[in-house]
Amino acid sequence: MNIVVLSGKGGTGKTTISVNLANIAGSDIALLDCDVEEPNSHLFCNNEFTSYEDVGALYPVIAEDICIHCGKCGSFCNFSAILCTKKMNIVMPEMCHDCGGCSLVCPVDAISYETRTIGHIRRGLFNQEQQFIDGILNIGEFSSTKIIEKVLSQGLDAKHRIIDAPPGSACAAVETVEGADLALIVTEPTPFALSDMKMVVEMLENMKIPAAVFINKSGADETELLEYCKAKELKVVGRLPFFKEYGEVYAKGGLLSSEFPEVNKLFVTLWRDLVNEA
Amino acid sequence: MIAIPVKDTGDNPEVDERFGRCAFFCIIDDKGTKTFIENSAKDLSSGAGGQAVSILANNDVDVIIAPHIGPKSMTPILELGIKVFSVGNAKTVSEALEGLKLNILKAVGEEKPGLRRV
Repeated sequence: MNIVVLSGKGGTGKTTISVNLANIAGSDIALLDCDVEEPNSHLFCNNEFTSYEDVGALYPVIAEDICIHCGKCGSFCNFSAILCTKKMNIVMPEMCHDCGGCSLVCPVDAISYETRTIGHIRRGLFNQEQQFIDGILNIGEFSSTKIIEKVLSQGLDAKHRIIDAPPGSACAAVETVEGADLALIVTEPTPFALSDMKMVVEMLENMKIPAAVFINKSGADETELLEYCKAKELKVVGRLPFFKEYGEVYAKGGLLSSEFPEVNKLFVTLWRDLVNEA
Repeated sequence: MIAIPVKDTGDNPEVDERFGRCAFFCIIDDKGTKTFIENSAKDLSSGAGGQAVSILANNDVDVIIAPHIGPKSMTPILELGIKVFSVGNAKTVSEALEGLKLNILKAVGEEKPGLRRV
């Protein structure tokens, strides 16, 4: 089973929830950190990474001796990675999303592809037996989906996979959620978090992925949030209160479920409910 | 041919602060005659700057005067050998052209562009 932990707004607690679920979920799980622009689940893990693998993306190369300068590849490309001008074709590899469309529309087969490295994935163990994989997108790169795709191809032999998603509801989040059995939306009782959560809920509805809500840093007024959840038939499956002591342990890279018995109990219950839900 | 991003198509159009997403380009030929091209790249979700450069290149533009050009646009501009001048204090097309004539506009483009070329 694939459980994706996502939020919309950044900083609501996706990583806190992911690593603490992993901590209590037993040995037959894999924890995947798909927030490849700023992965941080590894900060809660004391083991070293044991293996690394580069991730490449393709970009088009136009054979000028074959090209008839019809401009079809350039007008097809949604990301302006190919500019067809009267004078020359200009290819910008960083803009390319590696969709392969340009070679399909080329009438004379002038387009081939080369690979460039855009980042890498890292593998290790989270506790003693649980698989842990994350990905890193190189600085200056625009498109993280190829790295996320690679991270998501890992840990498939585990019974359950806990997937820490990137914030937002754009390409990276869509890629991460693809194929999930259940989405756990981590939110907080603030208008900003609710606003971004609505976008995530809309995304999940379009992708037909069942979702549940976890309220982190609870303690403030939840009226608006609960009304929205009710209207959308979203079940609130847990709450972690806003306590300074929790923040202190988190800031030191500690696992709340190891330090506080009441939090441990909370995550054990949450995990059981999630597994039953999906 | 000189191109300047502009907000309107009047007699003396106002310079647009944006390059890739400007409303129109004012094209000025060697005789000083102005024509306008609507910037069809302005509503693209990404890569508007690059497409704008390609529109200008296909209209034989070899000089651009603009307030600011982003790094993604500079890559094709340098590749195509188009010269770029910063508009400076000029607010209108007439002022920009006057600045170019008096040779007081600062040339840009020598710095490293934002995207790697194949």
